[in-house]
Amino acid sequence: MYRIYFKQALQMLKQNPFISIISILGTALAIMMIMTVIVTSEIQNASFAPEVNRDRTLYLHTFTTWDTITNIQNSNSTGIPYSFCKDYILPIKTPELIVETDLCQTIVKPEGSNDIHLLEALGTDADFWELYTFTFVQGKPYSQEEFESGLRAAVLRERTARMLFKDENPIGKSMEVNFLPYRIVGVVKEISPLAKESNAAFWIPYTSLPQYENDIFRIMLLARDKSDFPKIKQEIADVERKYTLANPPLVLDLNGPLEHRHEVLNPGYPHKTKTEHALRVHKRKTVLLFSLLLLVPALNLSGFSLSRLRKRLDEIGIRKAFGARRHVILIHVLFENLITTLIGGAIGLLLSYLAIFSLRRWLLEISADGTIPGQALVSFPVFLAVFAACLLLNLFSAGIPAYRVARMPIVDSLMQNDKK
Amino acid sequence: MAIISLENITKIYRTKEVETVALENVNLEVQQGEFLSIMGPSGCGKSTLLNIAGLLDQPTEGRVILDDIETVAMRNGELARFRNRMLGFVFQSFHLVRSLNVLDNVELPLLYRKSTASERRRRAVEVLTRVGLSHRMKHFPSQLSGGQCQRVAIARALIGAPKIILADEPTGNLDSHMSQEIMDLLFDLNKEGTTIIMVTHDERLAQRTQRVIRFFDGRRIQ
Ligand SMILES: Nc1ncnc2c1ncn2[C@@H]1O[C@H](COP(=O)(O)OP(=O)(O)OP(=O)(O)O)[C@@H](O)[C@H]1O
Ligand SMILES: [Mg+2]
Repeated sequence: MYRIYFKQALQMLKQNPFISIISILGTALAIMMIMTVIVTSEIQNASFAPEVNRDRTLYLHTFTTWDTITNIQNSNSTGIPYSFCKDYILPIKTPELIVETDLCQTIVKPEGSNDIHLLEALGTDADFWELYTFTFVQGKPYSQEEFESGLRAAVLRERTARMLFKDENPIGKSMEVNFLPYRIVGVVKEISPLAKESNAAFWIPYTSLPQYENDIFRIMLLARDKSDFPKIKQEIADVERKYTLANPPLVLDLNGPLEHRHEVLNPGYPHKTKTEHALRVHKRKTVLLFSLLLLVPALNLSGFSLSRLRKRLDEIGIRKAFGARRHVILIHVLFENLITTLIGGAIGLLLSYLAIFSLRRWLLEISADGTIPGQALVSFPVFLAVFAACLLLNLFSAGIPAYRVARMPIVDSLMQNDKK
Repeated sequence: MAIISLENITKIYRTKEVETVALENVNLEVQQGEFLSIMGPSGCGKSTLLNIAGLLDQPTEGRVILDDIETVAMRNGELARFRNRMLGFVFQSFHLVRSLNVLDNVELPLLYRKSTASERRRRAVEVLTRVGLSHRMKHFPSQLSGGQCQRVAIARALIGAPKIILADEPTGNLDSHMSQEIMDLLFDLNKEGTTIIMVTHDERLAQRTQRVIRFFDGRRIQ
């Protein structure tokens, strides 16, 4: 039965090439818009070098205490105090790695030059180089021992190395960072600006920073597996409780840990409740956006569906005369329409790849040579999303016309075409 | 035994402006195996009567009894099943599906009952051979002459082995030679026991059938 429906649908596409092409293109453009949005956000969440473990990483960077007596609130959403990290976070057992980073503004003066540069440095631990996979062009990262000894060593990115040392080999050279001498131990390949957590002009052990014990840190918790997330989240909740119990009248809110896909949406609120609310609002906005992206083209396409169906009223009358029930007609029409929609959907997906590739600088802030991670483009979730979008588009665009013609009295359907 | 029995059928079309009485208190009994033709001037209600007898339309008042079954209270689904089993339709303008080839057009009624693809195919070839179109099975309706189209329509009406065939001016769009062919087919079917009601404007065709009834202005006058 569906084989015959399928055959007929193709035949109809052949018999009405103009209207078919228009409605397939309409579908393709609608799917293209939707898929461009989906794939773009999928890429924001996808793992790529050096941030290859985004799907296994949880983030912490908020430290809010509320004094229940004075009602005074103390909050920092950009980092967590060192002593707290050391006493409460580092002892946690479930994560495979716990990485702390400390972003700081520095004044840099390279050896043998009087030029002064203002650069962002990222103070890190040694595990940082395990969590993030940089490609070393020269040298190597600082080791755990070097980190613990507070060695003043620096890893430069290529751009920084060129800027500071021109064409000279920077390895072994030194530079002043905030008036303290550092030795260059490595140079890494340029990284995408999309790698937000690991980005900096250069990297140094945070233990080399004077008074790092008074600094605040971003914390990345790498889970062995995503399934460990609930356990780690529970451990963080326990930490909050433990701190709150030990420090009355203070109540602690760490606002996390957040998974990567939530972290990219987090505007930096001091409280869990606010962040959760923001995420809910975002979800609602997304639903609204997708509804519009689906409904607007669906409305246009439903005009096409209706006019195509109007031409076939006598066919529907005949089918019913010979025993087709209403729901059978409804399913038939929707199935037929779905074929057109899926053809359009496939074309739309290809168009969206094209759009993303040609607009990547603008859509993703990826430099022209920056590659787009393949698994974000061609994956089961992406195809599932296309299919779901097609199904909805089909239902929205053909549903009402199909329902109307299916309910029309037989005599009326048969007569409409006689008059023409 | 009456296979069709219409009792006190009245059909009134109501639109916002006017009320048209298409049929007024019509009674009709058709015996099993009969070939009946209905005549009358345009607009007198012939098609309306045929549609009511064929369960395509509901009377405003009156009872429609087919094969001893009262149909007026039936629900849509039941009516559909009943039509599928009992009735075959032939129309003046053929009403073939443009986007289906001859075979698929003929198989259409069997799609709506339990049947396998091979069974449908076998039956379709059988009835198409019977109407003399076995060499046109892969053609589309637009590639056929009017007479051929009507033969396809008859094959379609035939494939479900209905007890009754209702034909509304089946030769209305055909020249006299083709009309003869179609009539011969209908007579053959009738000889095999199918009850046929045919609406026609052609007095000579009507005279060849067993019984002619005449309508005028929504009323049966003979
Ligand atoms: N859907 C409808 N709405 C309103 N009036 C209708 C409708 N269908 C038929 N009529 C009216 O009912 C009357 C009978 O129509 P019907 O089609 O049965 O005539 P007929 O005898 O078949 O005519 P013809 O020989 O031209 O086919 C006509 O006056 C017609 O205008
Ligand atoms: Mg008529």
